[in-house]
Amino acid sequence: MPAHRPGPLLARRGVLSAFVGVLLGAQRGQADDLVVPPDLQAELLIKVAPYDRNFAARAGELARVLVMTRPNDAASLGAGVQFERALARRGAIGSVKSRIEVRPFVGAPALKAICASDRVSIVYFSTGFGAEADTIADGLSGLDLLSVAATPELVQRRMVLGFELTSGRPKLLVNLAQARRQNVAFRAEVLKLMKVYE
Amino acid sequence: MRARTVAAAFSAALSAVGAARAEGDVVDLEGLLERPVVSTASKVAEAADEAPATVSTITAEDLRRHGVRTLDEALNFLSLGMMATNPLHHVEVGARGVMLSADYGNHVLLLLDGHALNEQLIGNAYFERGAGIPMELVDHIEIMLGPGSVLYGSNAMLGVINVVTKRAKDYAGARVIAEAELATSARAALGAGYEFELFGRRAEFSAQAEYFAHEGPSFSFGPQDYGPDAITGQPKRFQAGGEATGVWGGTARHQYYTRAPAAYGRLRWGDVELGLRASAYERGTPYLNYLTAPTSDFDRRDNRELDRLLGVDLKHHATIVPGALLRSRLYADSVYYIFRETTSAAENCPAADWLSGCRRRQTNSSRWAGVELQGSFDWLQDGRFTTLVGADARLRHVGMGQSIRDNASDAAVNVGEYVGTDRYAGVYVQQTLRPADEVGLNAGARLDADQRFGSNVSPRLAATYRPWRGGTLKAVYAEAFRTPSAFELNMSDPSYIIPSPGLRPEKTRSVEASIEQRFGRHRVLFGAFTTYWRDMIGGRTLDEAEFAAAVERGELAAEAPEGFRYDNIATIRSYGYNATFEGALVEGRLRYALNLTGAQARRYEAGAPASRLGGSPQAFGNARVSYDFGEGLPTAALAARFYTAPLAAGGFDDSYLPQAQGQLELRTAFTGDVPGVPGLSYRVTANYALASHSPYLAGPVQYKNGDPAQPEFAPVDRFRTALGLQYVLPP
Repeated sequence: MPAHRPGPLLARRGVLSAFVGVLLGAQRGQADDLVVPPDLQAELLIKVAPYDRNFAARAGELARVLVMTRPNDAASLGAGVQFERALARRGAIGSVKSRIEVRPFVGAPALKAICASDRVSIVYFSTGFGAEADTIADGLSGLDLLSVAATPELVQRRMVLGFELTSGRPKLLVNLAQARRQNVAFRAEVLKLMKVYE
Repeated sequence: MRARTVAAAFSAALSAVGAARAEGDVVDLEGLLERPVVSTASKVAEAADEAPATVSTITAEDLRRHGVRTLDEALNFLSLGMMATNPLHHVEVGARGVMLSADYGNHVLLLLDGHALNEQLIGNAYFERGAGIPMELVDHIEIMLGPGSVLYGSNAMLGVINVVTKRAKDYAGARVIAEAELATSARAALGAGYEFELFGRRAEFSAQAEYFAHEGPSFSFGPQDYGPDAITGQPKRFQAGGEATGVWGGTARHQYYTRAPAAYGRLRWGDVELGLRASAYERGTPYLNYLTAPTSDFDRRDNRELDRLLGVDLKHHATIVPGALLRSRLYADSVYYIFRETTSAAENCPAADWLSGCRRRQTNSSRWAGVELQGSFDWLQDGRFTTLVGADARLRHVGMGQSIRDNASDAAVNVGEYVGTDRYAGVYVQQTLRPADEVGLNAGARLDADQRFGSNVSPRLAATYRPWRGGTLKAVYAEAFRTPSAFELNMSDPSYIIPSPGLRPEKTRSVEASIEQRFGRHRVLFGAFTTYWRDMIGGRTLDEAEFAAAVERGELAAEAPEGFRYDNIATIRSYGYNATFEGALVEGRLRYALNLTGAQARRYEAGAPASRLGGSPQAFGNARVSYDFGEGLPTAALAARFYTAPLAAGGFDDSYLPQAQGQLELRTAFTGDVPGVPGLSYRVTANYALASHSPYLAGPVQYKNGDPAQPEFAPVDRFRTALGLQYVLPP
């Protein structure tokens, strides 16, 4: 006679408590979906930005890049710092030297003021800005500025440039309407490589 | 005037240089956008050329363009370094010149979104319809060649295949799919993908369910003159009624079929992800073969196999502090397998008075559950010095047994019964270091502790160097292993086989080096490798002393003609190369690729001369080209796959290894949107195989007309055409 002796499939109590402990312990930072590695994002940005017809005039001799992170969000800060360091290693955007600064986001009005006063050329939004995307886009409209999103859904929410992975390949995303509002005009040869949102 | 002219000329020259530089940058940009990002080799996202292994990817677009329907088709027509052969079910996969026939896929680790599909009794994985993976849901397939146990543990010896499914953004809306292969199969599917908010957090799901059914075609076999039944002395029966002729063969009209319902879905809510998988795989194979049915009557519909599979995977990831990411995963799977066959021959049955033959019912069950915790620490927060540590623990409950009943009296015997529960755990660490932008180093090791055999360490060392723009030099040393399966350890039947405790794990080590050059949208790669396999498990005959001891222990019947057991009996050495040339032209409309692998592999066993591996071709590859005409016109694609003539596989007699045919298979596909009907798309394919037979020997004698010089191989369905329609309702 076959002896099908039922046995425990899990040491339920031990395994589940470990899993719950992980969930509770990790509440300090929810990792958003940073799909294109920061190093590749930096590489793509330094190639794409000079194709903005207005980039040279906007940047002058030094392209100021602001990397915005969400306060009290470990994932956002970590991704932002990674991007900053990847960009800093490359030194220049096109032929223009760059200076990169990481700052916590303290609100759209403050951001607008900093961008205007510091003549920021590019503002990069790390992960976690889903809730603030619309107010940020409203605040940046009218400024001469390239806004870049680390996560793809923000391009539909009116960030000018973003990145996503499809079939394991990086893709560039552009919001043309917001680009016009921010005086960004990508050349045709690069636009045709991008996924366009109007 | 002159100064103005010079200035104008200088400005024009600068513009030209700028334009030339800009054009070069566009080429660079196009190349960057073609650079695959993979995660299988290191369990972190990285560019494929920086990964510590040779990794190739097959995109959803590739699958669509070339009308690929199953994983084995994807490997054959689109991959580098791996190939599949199909003995009319139980597709077998090999890589880099090594195909281990009758291993049931247990030397390749198959993952679905990182979830291992290899079951835990035999280590079996399916690469055809039985995988239960709806292809429209596939985002891309990552194929990592060579040993992968450093992060994945057992089974990852030939490589790791990770099928990654689409996010909702790439599978948006609801869809209905209908497809038919004329006039043998049909498939219907429903799928959906949506993004939404749930309790203030982003959520999404993507899922597809489908039903595939196939019948025929009919195939002709034999005649194979077997001769008399060893019990009755009369010509052996291969069918229930009619005259017993001792001859096997005829036209199999009823036994080649498939029924494969499958469903897979993923739900993501914030940082939590739930994956659910369910499938069944019922099939009949129309000939006697070593892999599944060694003793069946000819062309019986009720000779069949059925798998039922369920799987669940719950994941969570979170950043604890900047640079420190924690991932956790709970998983559980259940696989239940039934094999039925009926034989009308007395000699195939366990009792000498079962003169009308008997019917067998083999059942295997495999259930397992586990937890994996993984932490990655980017110490400098710039990707240059990163540590990955992880632990994976699993509880396995497996069982098997065979019930054999007399066709006449319904008396039954049960053999080969085993039920067992065991534990398995692995801990791994991986350190990556980038001392300079051009240099990457990766070192890792995994310690596995398994109740089935003890413990094992699998190391890996890899270095990448990018000396010039677009160029990558890579060197990798890696080891891997396969746990002796519960089947190999415990299979017993007093009529012929005893349990085999004390089996050691199979091991392999590999050294490879490659050079890759990217230039714009094009890529060339050449790599060379050598691998050494030891302690390969196989069956061997018991000697006289072992036989007597087995009889004394009660494990073997004294009247058994021979005794067998599994043992670590062989080594394999192989060396060879992989090469690929691929790219895109005309703004990506024209895409092409050529993949080629050449290898020499030899098997060594005590007391036997070195031999080639049955079923392993010494060269194989594929080529493809496609053009997207755009503007409402279809995408036309042509692909070819080939392998050079291997020795036969699937033989009952290890010494009978006749030369089999090589193969050249052509596939043409036209895909596009149906004009005037938004959301409706079509796919038309035609497939033609030049060789009429596979390398798998067929039948009880395995050669025709009593002549070993006329080996009988399983046929190939040479010409197939298919039409598919997909209708997508936007979200």
